[in-house]
Formats: sequence, structure tokens, C-alpha cells
Amino acid sequence: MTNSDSGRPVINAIEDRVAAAYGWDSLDKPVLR
Amino acid sequence: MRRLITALVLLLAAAGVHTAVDDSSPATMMARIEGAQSPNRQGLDPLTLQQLMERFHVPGVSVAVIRDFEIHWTKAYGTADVETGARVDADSLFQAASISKPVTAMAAVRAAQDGKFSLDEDINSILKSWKLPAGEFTRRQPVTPRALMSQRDTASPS
Repeated sequence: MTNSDSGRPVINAIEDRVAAAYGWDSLDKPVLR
Repeated sequence: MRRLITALVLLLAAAGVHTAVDDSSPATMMARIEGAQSPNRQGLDPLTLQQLMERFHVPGVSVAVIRDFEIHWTKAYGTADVETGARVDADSLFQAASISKPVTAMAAVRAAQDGKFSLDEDINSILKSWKLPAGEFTRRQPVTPRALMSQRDTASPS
């Protein structure tokens, strides 16, 4: 959860980091370039 | 000598198992998420969580990770109130926003399961404090809980 209207990118980044740390590849997303 | 080697191998194996468990400890996982990411997959990976919050002007964040149906760890970052400087903690309340939709749907389905109403009845027979005004579309087909929850209908007091 975030307390900002612009929290979505932070939430997405945290989800990506959690998925990477735990090896949850079902949450993998395309790599940004 | 053979016994000594066997004992040493078992000891190392046990140490290896111990290390593997420690690698997924809450403290280790928190550190991985808070720090810059390695390998760097571009995008926002070079930033720490603190830097992410600063870049997107997010004062407070609360994280809960559920693993194997149990909360593995929770941690809060930043401020809950920028005026008072009060810190966010694990009990801070946040606006649920669209998370309320699946929660409401779950409660509605459970209420229907308990026989409190049918998913296919007119929502005006269920609503108490506000009713959906009649209109061209509701005359043809009443709005039902099933239609709302499958996003085939909408109802708004505004």
C-alpha cells in the first residue's frame, strides 16, 4: 500500500522485487529498456 | 579417518542447509527489496526503495509478503502524515482503493451463499439507503449483483 496518487510505479517495482527475490516467475514482466 | 571425513561432510551439508534457510529469512528478503537490484535489469532497478519513494513523491509505503498462505514479513517505510511527520507502521490505515472491489465481491458471494439474497435479483430489492433510479436500461433488464460483479452493469449515485 502507498499513500500517494503516484504510488503505482512504486507498487509495481516492489512486486517485481518480491517476485525476483522469492523466485516467483509467474509474476515476471518484460524487462524495461 | 573415514569417519572424520564423513562427519565433516555431514557438518558441511548441515551448514549448507542452514545457509539456504537463512537466505530466505525475512531480514534477507527485506534487504533485497530495499536495495538496488542485482542483476540490474534496467528501468528502476538501480534505485533503492527509498530513492523510488522520493522519485515518485510517495511519502509512505507498507509491504506485506505472503508465502505459503502465511505472512512472511511486513514492514512500513516513510511517513503516514507529511504535516506531523508521523511514521508509517504495520498498523497504519491506507485507502483500500480498488482492493475493495474483490473484497466486496467476496462478501457479497458469501452473503448470497448464506441465502441473504440471490445473485440474480434486482439490486433495488437488496439496497437499503439508496436505490438505483429506474431508467431505460433497468426497465429492459434489472441490474443484479451478478451483473455488477462481472462488470456487465454499473450503478452509481453520482
